[in-house]
Amino acid sequence: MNYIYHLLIYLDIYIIIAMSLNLLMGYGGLLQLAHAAYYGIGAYVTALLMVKLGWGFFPAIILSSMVSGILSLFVSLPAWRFKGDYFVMLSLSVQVAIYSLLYNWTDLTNGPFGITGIPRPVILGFKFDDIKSIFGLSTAFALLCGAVMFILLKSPWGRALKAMRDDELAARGLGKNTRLLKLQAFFIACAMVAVSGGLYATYVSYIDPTSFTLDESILMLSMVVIGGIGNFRGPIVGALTLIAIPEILRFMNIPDAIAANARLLIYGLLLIIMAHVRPQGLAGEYRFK
Amino acid sequence: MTTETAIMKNPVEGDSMQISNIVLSARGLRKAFGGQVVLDDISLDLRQGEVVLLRGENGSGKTTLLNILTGNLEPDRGELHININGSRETFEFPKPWWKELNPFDHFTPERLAWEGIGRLWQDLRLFPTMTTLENVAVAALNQKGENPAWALLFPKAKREEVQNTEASSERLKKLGLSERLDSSCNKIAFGQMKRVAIARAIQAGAKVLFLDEPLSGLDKNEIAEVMGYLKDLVKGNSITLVIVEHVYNIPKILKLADTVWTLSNGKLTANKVNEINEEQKTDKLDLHDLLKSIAVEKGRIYSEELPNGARLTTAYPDEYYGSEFALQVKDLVVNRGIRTVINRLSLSLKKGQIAILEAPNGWGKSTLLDAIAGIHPIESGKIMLYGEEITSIPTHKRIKKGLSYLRSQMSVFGSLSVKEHQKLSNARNYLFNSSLNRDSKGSFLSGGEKQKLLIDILPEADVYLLDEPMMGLDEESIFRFKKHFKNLLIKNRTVLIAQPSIN
Ligand SMILES: Nc1ncnc2c1ncn2[C@@H]1O[C@H](COP(=O)(O)OP(=O)(O)OP(=O)(O)O)[C@@H](O)[C@H]1O
Ligand SMILES: [Mg+2]
Repeated sequence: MNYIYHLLIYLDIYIIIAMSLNLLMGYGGLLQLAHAAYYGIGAYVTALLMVKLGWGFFPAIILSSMVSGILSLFVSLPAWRFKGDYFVMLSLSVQVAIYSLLYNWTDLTNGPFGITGIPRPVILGFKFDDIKSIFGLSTAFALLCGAVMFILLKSPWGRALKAMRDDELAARGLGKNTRLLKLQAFFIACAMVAVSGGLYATYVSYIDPTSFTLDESILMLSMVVIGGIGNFRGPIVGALTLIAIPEILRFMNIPDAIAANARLLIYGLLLIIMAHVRPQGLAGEYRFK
Repeated sequence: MTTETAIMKNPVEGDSMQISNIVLSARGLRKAFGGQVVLDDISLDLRQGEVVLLRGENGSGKTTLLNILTGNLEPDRGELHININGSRETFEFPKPWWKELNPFDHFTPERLAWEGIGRLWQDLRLFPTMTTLENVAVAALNQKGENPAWALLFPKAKREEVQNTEASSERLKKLGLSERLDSSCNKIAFGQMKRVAIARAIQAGAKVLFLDEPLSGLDKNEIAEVMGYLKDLVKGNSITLVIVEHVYNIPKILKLADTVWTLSNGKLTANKVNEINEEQKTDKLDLHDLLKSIAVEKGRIYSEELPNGARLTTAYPDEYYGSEFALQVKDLVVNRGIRTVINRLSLSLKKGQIAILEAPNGWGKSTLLDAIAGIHPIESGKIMLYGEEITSIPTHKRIKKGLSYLRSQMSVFGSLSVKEHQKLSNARNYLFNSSLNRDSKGSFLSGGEKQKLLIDILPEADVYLLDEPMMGLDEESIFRFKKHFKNLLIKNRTVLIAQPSIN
């Protein structure tokens, strides 16, 4: 039973990640490869504030999401000028830079050894200690992020973002400030993914840089692409699929050593098949060019 | 104050124009690309409610001027004054060095849009993934809901959005698009798309609207609809229009225009409409003239009605009567999605024969030509080239067998130069070589220059399929085009031309 809760907590975390990335890719048309880095910033800032400064869970997660939002300038400012492949390269280098910071700034992050003993969340005196209550908390966060995303995507802001994705010059000709739109979209997406990073850190209570590598960014990307970008339900479907695949492998009794590789293989295959059969993803409506 | 003066507009007694406000003026604009000076010391004044026709040969700088006046391109030199919404704005070029340092550069399309300047693009640039209603609604400026914080926290933004949606759908309903509000904007007819694009600019608060070839590619009914809309816009005198058009459509715009701007050799001359009394040569430019000249003396012209309002007109010289068929299409059925667009169509063309297919937009002209060329799959039927069936062979083999296809909305290769384009093709005599800069990159060519290049590099062939070949061409080029194809026809080539029906 605990195992199911464990999966569901991961599902919540992945849904938040996928939704935030979908905002950039599906609505902004910006292929962001640094998302795992911002997820990492969320996890690290939350963990450090709680472990080293003894902050409570709520203030820590809010501050970490603000920090991540502000650091999103590293990708959003270049996005003013760079598009397409150039932007992909740029976000790639931001991903690598932030990862090496986490890895090498040993005084602060303890480098490859990571941070241990991250306390479980305590809110208003209630300690989220058992897995059920943590699941409750993560679901509450997923619902909150979902609601925020839902309202934003349906709002004139979301529509302006879509216009920018479809044709930036035409959008500017109608008076849309596309630079501001990019800053806002990245801020919101990076702040949101930091929340899931904080949740992850407090749930597993131990983090190290390996969870925030480029591989992880690509995994997030494939999750969004497989689910389908450009609408609300796509990322949820994508998160579900990515959680389900390893579990199905497990039920098929495939040895762990093979399963790990088989998992990546299946993601890859799935991506190729999707590109051919349903370029807009399982539940999406926009094709990424 | 603005309204009092503007209501007086009467283009014939031109004096009343003098007192209406100047909304936009330019002094000494200059723009050069590399060594080529496109605009040279251009000054102009635009008054509120004025309708201007902007004309000039291909490559004379019409689109470049529009790009500058809408903030999409910085001139090398000159001044721009804008006074539309009551606040006066001046932009000077070259910018002083301390303005260059400012990353929040203020001469941008969005900035000029806030000032009330709008634009209809030559290729429309609607937002393809949105519905027509969304395309218009998104344009509204200063919506509180465009700030994510407001969108999340304040219900007021929602109310404003409801009003905006209502206003947008009202606007579209007035344009006769009430059935199409939720249609995806690239699934509606071309004429409807043009009206949506204009409505979008107006919804964004445009008071001065620049239109790049608003009538091109439209059929007769669609032209009437777009002209009707433009008339409505200028009626209240609140909207000022600058319209770029070519040959055939110029007489239509002249009916609405007060002023004519002519661009030539980098200079702009402005005239009142009643000062322009050149003879209109559009009759001679008509394609049917080509038919007549082919059919001279012994030849004949046949005209045949096709289903759904299309017409096929053809001519060939008698001496070839009885010669073999060059292109035959038998019982062709072509679907587009689930809709059958071409239903059991048959036609055959002989050597030396020319046919003009005129059909309303949406009839399936381009689909038909795509099917003949093997780009679009067919459901059933036969296509034969010189008696040999080509129904199931791929496009490149059809081209090798003697087909040459000019697709509409085909584009040149952006990064290749004119010279490189020419090397790609087996064509030998270039019709427009002299008017194209051979080192110029494809993406930098003007609309008409692109079309000329595409015509120039058409592979030499026995059978030519041409989809709206004269779109965007100026007078001189159309003459040349006709002369060239007349020669080909005399040399026993076969030509099928598709055009939107305009008569
Ligand atoms: N970015 C650019 N770089 C280099 N040359 C350019 C660029 N843009 C335009 N030109 C050149 O400037 C000239 C004017 O182009 P423009 O598009 O303004 O012509 P136009 O009057 O709109 O012609 P058309 O009737 O064919 O649309 C052309 O010769 C074109 O090749
Ligand atoms: Mg042009």
